Amino acid sequence: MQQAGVAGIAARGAPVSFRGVRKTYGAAVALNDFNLEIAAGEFLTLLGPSGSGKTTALNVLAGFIDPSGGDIAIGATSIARLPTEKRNIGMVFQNYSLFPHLSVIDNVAFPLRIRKMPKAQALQKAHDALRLVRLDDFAGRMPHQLSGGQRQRVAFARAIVFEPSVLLMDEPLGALDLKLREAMQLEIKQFHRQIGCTVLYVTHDQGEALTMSDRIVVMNHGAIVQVDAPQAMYDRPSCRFVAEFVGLNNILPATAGAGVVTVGGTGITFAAPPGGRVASVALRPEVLRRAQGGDVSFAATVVDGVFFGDVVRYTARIGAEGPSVTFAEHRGGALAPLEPGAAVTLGFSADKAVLLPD
Amino acid sequence: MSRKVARTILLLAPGLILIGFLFLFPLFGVLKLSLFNPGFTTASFEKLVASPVALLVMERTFILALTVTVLSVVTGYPIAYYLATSSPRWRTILVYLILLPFWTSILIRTYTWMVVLGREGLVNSVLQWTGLIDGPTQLLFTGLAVHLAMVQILMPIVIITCYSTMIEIDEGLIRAARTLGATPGQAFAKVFLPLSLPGVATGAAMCFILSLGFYITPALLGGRRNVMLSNLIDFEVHQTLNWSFASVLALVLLAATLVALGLFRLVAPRRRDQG
Repeated sequence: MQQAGVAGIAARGAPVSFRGVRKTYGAAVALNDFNLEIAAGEFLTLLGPSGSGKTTALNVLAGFIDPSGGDIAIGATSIARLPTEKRNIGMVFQNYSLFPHLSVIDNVAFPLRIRKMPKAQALQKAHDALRLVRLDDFAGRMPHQLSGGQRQRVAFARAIVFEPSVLLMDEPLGALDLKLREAMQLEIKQFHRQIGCTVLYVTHDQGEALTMSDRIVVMNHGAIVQVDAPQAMYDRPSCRFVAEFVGLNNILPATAGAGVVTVGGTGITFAAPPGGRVASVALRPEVLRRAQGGDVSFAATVVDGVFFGDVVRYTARIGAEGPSVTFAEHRGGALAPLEPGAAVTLGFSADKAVLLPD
Repeated sequence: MSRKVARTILLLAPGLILIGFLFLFPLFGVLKLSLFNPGFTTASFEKLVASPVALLVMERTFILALTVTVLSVVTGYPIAYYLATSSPRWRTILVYLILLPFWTSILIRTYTWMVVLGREGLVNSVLQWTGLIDGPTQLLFTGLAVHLAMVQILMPIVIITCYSTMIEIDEGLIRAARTLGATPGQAFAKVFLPLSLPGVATGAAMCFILSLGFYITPALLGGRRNVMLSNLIDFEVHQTLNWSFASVLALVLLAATLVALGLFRLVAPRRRDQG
């Protein structure tokens, strides 16, 4: 899957497959029967809380950790027994890991010089990579003379200059402030489109995962919980863990029987197609709407409103003694702002409610 | 501003007074001794240039200091590397093991080497017992003895300075080098080694300067063939009572030390921020 590279950097993305990869430390299981197929050129994100095994999976692919079992392949070749330097993997680290004794251009040329590329050609190519990240003017600087965002872009240039088939990114934006992080998300996405290599991205930031990924793998306790495209992951979480971890959600206890779901402690009922076990129901804040309702509506009392700039997020109690839910409203709409204590009628369409088995 | 200046002067005063009375003042006396006898004369400096013994001793002292420094760095660096890459618990024990002899008096350690290297000493006994040699071989009062003991005495300095630089090196940099295609050897040569050089330079400089002024060890282990500059100064002070010449030799030693220090500062790579 080769794409035309801007500025002369183009990598042939390769598929990656994890087959039954395990990693145990004594009795502790860091990674349990990890199976994953990543398509060539795909941007795939491993998302999970710390200790979920996402970094272990990344380090196994990079060759920093020997798996206790299973196999990993890039393309058709098993790489489980190859040392890191033979795997042709680019990697971007959270703390940049630029070589402090080398200038920016020498940092970027490092992987090329290690591969015995002639100096002039290596420098040319390093300049191409720096042009891609728009840091060509900083070639002669030392890493400590750059800002955090610039260092991360140099680290990115260095990781892709040798056109690796797979690029690993380990929380690369974790050390940056929010504004810069959002700008870098878009940039990385754009670089990925230009270069075309396969990206395995690790983050605990669900917003980042939703923004950047082709597919997201949610992990917990060393195992995969759900694999889906961002929108599907957001709209149809498969379990309570994903529903709570990805985006904001109102999770209410619920029971189902004879095609009707009853939300506990509220008296709310709605029709639902019969399916598996139902223990709770997830309602996104934006699914709950004031006044206009949907096919299900209920009365609530506003407890609090939090101002977020573009939206106001309200907390409301269902009925007199029921559970609380949050719902968001854009400002500047036709509706007047709500004060704490105000009675309000909220509604949602039944097909937007997600039924969860746990 | 003036408060700050007063504060600085107050804090530095004890040190400055100490150095003034115990170092600069005597040093001035030494300088005076070397040039006035009692009127101004450069006779002692002329004697230095004309004395084959003094020149030989100076040359020997510099070569010894250089050799000891190189040997200490070559043997100390791998030990420091091992320390820096071992587990924290094991590391603490090892650092103590290295510092323990360092805290022991140089005199005692030198005597220990006499016990080890003497005619009836450990090395000779073992060599004779294994049948490698027939009679005791001369180990004490040789250049070898001086080198061995000085390296053993000074190596901890090199180890500790190298080690303190090495533990500052981010392990992630080595990992990064590996992902960029470097073998473990290349990662060491192109990343770890250059980043550890400031520690090597500091350790080597300290080792070299201390070696230049070594007195007890060459005196006790070197015999007559291994007289060093410090021993010669002692000889001129106590035996020939030529204090003027002794002062000239002392100034040479001081000048050499300052030049060595300056050279190391010039050549030594500066410490850089970890990026």
